[in-house]
Order: sequence, then C-alpha cells, then structure tokens
Amino acid sequence: MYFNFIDVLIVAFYIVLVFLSGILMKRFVSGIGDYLVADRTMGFNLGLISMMCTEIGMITYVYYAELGYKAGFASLIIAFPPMLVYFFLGRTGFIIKPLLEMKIMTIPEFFSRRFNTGVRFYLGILMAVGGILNFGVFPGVEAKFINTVSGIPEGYVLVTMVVLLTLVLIYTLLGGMVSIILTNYIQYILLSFGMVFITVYGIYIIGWDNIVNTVTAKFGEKGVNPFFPSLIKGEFGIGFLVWQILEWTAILVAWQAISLRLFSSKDSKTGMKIYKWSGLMFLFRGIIPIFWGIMAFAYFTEPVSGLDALPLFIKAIVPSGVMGLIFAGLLAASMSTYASYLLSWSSVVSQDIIGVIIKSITKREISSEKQLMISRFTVAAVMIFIIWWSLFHKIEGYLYFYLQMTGMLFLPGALVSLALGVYWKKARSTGAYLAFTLGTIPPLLYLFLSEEVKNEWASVFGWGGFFLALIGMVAGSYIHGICKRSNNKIKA
Amino acid sequence: MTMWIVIWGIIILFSLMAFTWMSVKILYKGIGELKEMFQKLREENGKNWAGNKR
Repeated sequence: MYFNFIDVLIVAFYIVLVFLSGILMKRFVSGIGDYLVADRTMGFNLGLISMMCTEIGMITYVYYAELGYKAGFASLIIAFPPMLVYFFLGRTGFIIKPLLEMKIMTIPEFFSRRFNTGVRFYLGILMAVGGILNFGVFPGVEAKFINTVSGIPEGYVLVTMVVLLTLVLIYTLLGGMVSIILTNYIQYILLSFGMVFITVYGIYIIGWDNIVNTVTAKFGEKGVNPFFPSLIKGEFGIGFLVWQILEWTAILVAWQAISLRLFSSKDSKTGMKIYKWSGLMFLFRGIIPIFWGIMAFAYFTEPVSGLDALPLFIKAIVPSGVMGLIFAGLLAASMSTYASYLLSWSSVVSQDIIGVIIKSITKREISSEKQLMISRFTVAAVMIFIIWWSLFHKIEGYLYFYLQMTGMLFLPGALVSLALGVYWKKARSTGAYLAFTLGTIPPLLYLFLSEEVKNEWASVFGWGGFFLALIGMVAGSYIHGICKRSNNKIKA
Repeated sequence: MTMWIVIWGIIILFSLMAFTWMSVKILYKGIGELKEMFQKLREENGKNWAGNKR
C-alpha cells in the first residue's frame, strides 16, 4: 500500500459517510416514482451535480487520458461535440421537451406510446445488451486503476471492487434515485477537488513549456492540429465530428442514465436548463482528463500503456497525505457512476423487458410495489453480470471507441425513431424495427474487427450506423403504409 | 502550429477556472435544493417518514 494512516482514514471516513447517507434515504421511497425519478423533485443545481457525477467515473478519466496520451493536444477536440449538442438540445428543447411533457420514466416507454409494445420490448433488449456490455468493462478497468494508484495487491483488487459495488448496491436498492442524488452531492465535493488539484499540481510539477515541447517534438503538427493533414483525412476530421455529434445527440436523448436525470427534474423548464449548463460542464469533463493524459505523456520518459498512463501519473505526482483525498475523489466518481448505471440499466430490464412480458401474460398492470421489487432484483442481477464480464473481456483499440460502439447497438435506431417518432407523422412501427436492426450492423461489425482496422474506420462505422438507421426508418414506414393501404383495399 | 498551441492553452485555462467557479456555485446552491427536495418528499411521503397514512 502506498497510503499513510491519514490517507486510509480519509478514504474510510468517506466510504462510511456515503454509505450511511445512502441507506438513510430508504424512508423517502414508497413507490416506483420515488425510486426511479425521486418523485420528480430534483432542482437545477442538484441536477447538474447528479449529471456530472453519473457521467464521470474513473473509467471516464482513463479513456480520456488514453486519448490525450496517444494523440496529444489534438484529441482535445473530442470534448466539443457533447458541449455543442447539450447546448443545442437545452436551448431548443429538440426531442427532450416533448419527452419531458409526456412524463415518462424510461425511453422505451415512449416507443410503446408512439408505436407499440413490441417496439418497446425490442428496444429494451437492445438497450439492455448495449448498456450492460458497455458498463461491463468498468470494474475491470477501474480495478486496475485502483491497484496502480493505491498499491492494493492485484489479488485483493477484485475483492475491493466487489465490496465497493456491494455498498453501492445496498444504498441504490434501498433509496433509489433519492439516495443517488444525496450521495452524488457528497461525491461531487471530492470529485471536483481532485480534478482541480491534479491539473494545477501537474502543471506546477511538469511546467507548461515542457508539456508543449514534448508533445510537439514527439508528435509534430499531428499532436496539436486535430485536422492534420486535412479536414477530411485527419484522425479527428469531419467524419469523426459528424459521428460524434450524431452519437452525442443520441446519448443525450436515449442514454438511460442521462435521460433518467432529465425525467427526474421537476419540470420541463428545469430539465432544459440542466441540459444547457451541462454542455459547459461536459466540456470540462473532457478537457481536464485529456490534459492529464497529455501531462502524463510529457512526464514519463519511457513509454507506458495508454490505459496505465493516468494511474501511474497520479501515483507519481500526488504527495502522500493528499493522496487519500484524491483517492476518495476517484472512488466517489466511480461509486456515483455505478449507482446510477445500476439503477438505469436495471430499470430498462425490469420495466421494459420483464414488465412487458408479465403484462402480456397476465393482461394486467403491475402494481408499483411489485415493479419496485422487480427493479431491485434486476439491480443485483446486473451487478453480478458486470463483475463476471469484466473478468473475461479484453479490450482492443481505443477504450473510448469500444464504449461508444457498444452504446451504438441501440443509439442510432433510438435517435432516428425518437426524432421521427416525435416530428414525423408518417413514422410507423415497421420503420422503428428496421431502424434499430440496421443501426446495429456497423457496431456489431466493429466489435469483431482487428485493432488497426478499428482505429482507422471507427468514424465511418460510427456515422454509417445512423445513416442506415435513417434509411430503415423511412423505408420501413413507407412499406408499412403501403401494406396497410393494400390490406384495407382487400377488406373493402 | 503556434496558433493551435495558443488556442489549446486558452481552452485549458478557461476550463480549469470555469470548472472551479461553477463547482463552488452549484455546490453552494445545491444545499438549498437538497433541503427543498427532502421537504417535498417528506410531505408527499408522510407514511414512510412519520408512520402516518398519506
């Protein structure tokens, strides 16, 4: 262990504080509405805090730092698409305002209202598979991070992760979204301190000139200019930006952990305001960890693995005594993400898969108490699965791209079906089925390709998924319309 | 190349300063919202909080 007594004390105090705060919230939960969306009582500032905590975990730091370490300053461009999309959606209310006004709890719910239960069920399955495969690499990557930073022996890291996950699981099971909002508040204090400290202290230790000189000497112009050699051929050129803007639009309207935050806000105005300001916060969420990766690149004279760069860098620069606070901040980032993701993906399984099956068999609405019980059971099941998956799955290519592609198993179809479902009267269920099915083809192909091909063609597979989903929706809706008209003629 | 370095330098500095300021602001204002949220949940969820029926 690299920790001194004070470090251990800080970490232990933090864990106990968060755990107790979380379980005390059970008293506020009596039905599925309290459990999943905190009875829609969340205000603007809490919404922003909760949104940041959900979407910042150790894994976020790792994948952004990997990009900074491998691609230099040029990779900072990645932080801009989410900011632009957040701002656009928050400002215009595109898709999100109609969803907020419908007062739904999960995205697939929209599909059962607009199309039919079959579409909701199909999306539920794709969302559960994509979301859980995405979530499934978190424990493995983060266990390695904890091992490097804290010095906890490798054999005990998985046990540490299981203990932490169990603590998160207990308070999420008991207090649902109410627990998450309160624990997010405590976690954000440590998380924000850690982010500012590592950045300032890193610049102080390494020096800005040294960072710039190392990057330009080793990468040349490619390390600072994202559009090098040209806007079209550059690694982060126009194809990449188009994909990222589409992907982030899809994430912000259909990613369950984010949309659950949106649906928890007390009214549509608050929801849109949270989105507008989250844009700026998401810019910082990208810029700061990418810059850590760039600092790590300048700091190490010998090359290290991209995924190891950040934990090794933190271990090397953070002084003993402060390490406890930083480590608690890292744990905070992860625990809040686990809590939200467990609740989010399990709500899809319980509401949109199991719920739909039970309802179609019994032909009755399930009571709020039973929904709550099923939701709690699925939270535990999801946790067991992700621990198992993280033990066996090996990541190839950029971790960032893996995460985006697993999400793309449902995002292209979801975005196209949501947008056209809301704004195009002729959108039909056959179109939605085809959009989801065609949209999954590029990410599925991507997951089975070699590492070199993956990195080179990621952008094409990215925007290609959205393009195919659009074709599927338009073609499917017209086919549906034609079939319906000919059926009506036969009946007449 | 110099132009890009200057741009990234400004963006990193802005991100650090604005993140610090916004974090302090939302944490400070968040306390009031937490109180408000619990008040509302307590009123709507009286059964669990005080053992009374709704």
